[in-house]
Amino acid sequence: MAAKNDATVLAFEKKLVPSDGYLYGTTWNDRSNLKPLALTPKSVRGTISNRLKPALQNDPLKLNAEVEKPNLQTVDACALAEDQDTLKLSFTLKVLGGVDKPSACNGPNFNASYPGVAQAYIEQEGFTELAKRYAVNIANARYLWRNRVGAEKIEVVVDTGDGEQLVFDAKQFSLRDFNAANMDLQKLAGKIADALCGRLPYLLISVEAYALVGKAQEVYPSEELILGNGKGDKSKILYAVNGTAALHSQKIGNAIRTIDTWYPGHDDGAIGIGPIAIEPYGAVTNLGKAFRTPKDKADFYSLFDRFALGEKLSNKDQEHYVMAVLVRGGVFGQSGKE
Amino acid sequence: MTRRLLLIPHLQIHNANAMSSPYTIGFPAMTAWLGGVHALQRHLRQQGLTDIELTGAAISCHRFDLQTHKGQGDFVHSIVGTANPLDKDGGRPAFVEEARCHLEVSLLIELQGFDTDERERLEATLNQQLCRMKWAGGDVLAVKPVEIHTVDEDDDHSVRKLLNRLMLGYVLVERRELMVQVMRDEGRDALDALLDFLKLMHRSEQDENGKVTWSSQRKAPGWLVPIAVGFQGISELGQAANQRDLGTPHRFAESVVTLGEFKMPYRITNLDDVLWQYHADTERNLYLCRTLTAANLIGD
Repeated sequence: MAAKNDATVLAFEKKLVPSDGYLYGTTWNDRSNLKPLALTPKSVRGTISNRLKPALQNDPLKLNAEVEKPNLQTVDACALAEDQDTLKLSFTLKVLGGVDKPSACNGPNFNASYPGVAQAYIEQEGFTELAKRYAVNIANARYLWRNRVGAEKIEVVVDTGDGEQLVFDAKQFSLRDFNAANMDLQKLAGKIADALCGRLPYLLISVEAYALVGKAQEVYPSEELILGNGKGDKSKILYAVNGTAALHSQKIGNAIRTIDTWYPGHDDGAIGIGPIAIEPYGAVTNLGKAFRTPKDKADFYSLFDRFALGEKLSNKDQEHYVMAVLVRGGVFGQSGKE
Repeated sequence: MTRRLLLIPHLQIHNANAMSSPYTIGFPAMTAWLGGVHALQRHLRQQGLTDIELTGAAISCHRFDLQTHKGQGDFVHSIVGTANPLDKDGGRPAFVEEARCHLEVSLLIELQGFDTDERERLEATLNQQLCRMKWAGGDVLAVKPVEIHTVDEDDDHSVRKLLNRLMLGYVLVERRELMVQVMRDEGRDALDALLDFLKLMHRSEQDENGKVTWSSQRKAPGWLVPIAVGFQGISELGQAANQRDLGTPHRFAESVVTLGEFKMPYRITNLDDVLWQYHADTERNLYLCRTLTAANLIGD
């Protein structure tokens, strides 16, 4: 039997480090005038509209009694002001190298083989494929998430720190594939690849995305995950930093690494939902579904255990996927009991 | 005596670990900061600056944003959580409550073995490395260029000028001596002594007209906080299964928690009050971070 991946403590730091995304309101034609967006709590009288038990549904009296209850709720909301028609989202993205070094590792076998494998990948591929896909996701403004829906125009301004601004018309870039070709895009992808390969010490990109969503329209910051929130009466709490509505950095990171078109079923029109985020099990949160299951031997751990010990994977796409998970980072150790 | 100090101004950190100790959340533990400084020293040595020693560090906090939420009418704060990725069936794994914070700090680090000819190289290496590091488990979003200062300890003015660079903020100083005093004088055990200083006492007084006035106070003035400052070894040195580093002996340990105080830098007069150092007391199996001033006060 071939050597076993013996690392029980194994972790990789993320190599794409996004900041929180801050939301501002402005106008499409005059962007110099911009204001941070604040959250506004509002209380509404809701309706009872959930699916009721058959016993209630069939008894008109009981049904009336049920739906007459005032369903009072307090929620956070965020919207542009009445004189603003454009949402500005700004964040920075740091790109680091050093994917050939785990941040913590205790396996001698693993340590002996993995760095060579990673360096071979860097030498052969130079991260060009991954960098291009990340760049497309920066250009297509996927990180606007729901704010992207229904926006009339979207413009993305990227500054890679050398004084020159790259401007992208986000609607020109598809969310379904990564076939775009564009001078500015190549420039951005080249820089990201350089940083991932370690040719640059690090790269700091600042991104400003402008979305024309219409005057006084509602915009969507991240919602906070609060456990054990029993007593408070607010049922939806949005994220803000120093009073400015914001998107969580994790959410921006997820959008940028939505580059996985190599999962089983991607080409199948019935299943395929376009690119999914790079995750060890190909998990898509809002579908509650994992596309890369260990049963198909398509999950990260099945591939990585072979790859890290120098075994060839069946195609380049699988290598891209494995390296993309390492760029994402995470704790990949296994139980020492087996 | 002149001392050389390295200032890392306005380090902005995102999603840092907010465990101050195993029991409390708040400002990241002192071990996290000294660990970061040690990582920095190891990097400098790998880069060929082999004589450099970073012997102590002070930390000043400019902005602190703990990720908790307290709604109207809530009695306690709840931790704002993050979700783990879905498992292999697409299901949601258990939530793990982890306290996080965003913060902005300045670090003042004592430099030894520093050759002025290497100044430029040192500064360039540091500026580059700082952006690539993690601090207290959080990501560095931005940092201003580092500065190297020389101060004459006997010249109050030069010390003051440097400490002013830590404004506006609060520096963490050690207040272990308060606990030691209460344990010695009042015979309390360590946990009681710690709690004595943290609890708020509400007292009522009734004057001759029957009017009741309430007052609230703590045992000692100042912004006292519990902090983790190191480890107490609880097993022999040896090998354990699956230990992280096979080349270094392993030992089980538990955290040492003591009192710290956040002070405005203008109230500091002596650099030793704020510079924390590693100290290993191998006879008592203690691995501590401490300030020289506190160590001298207690006499260990």
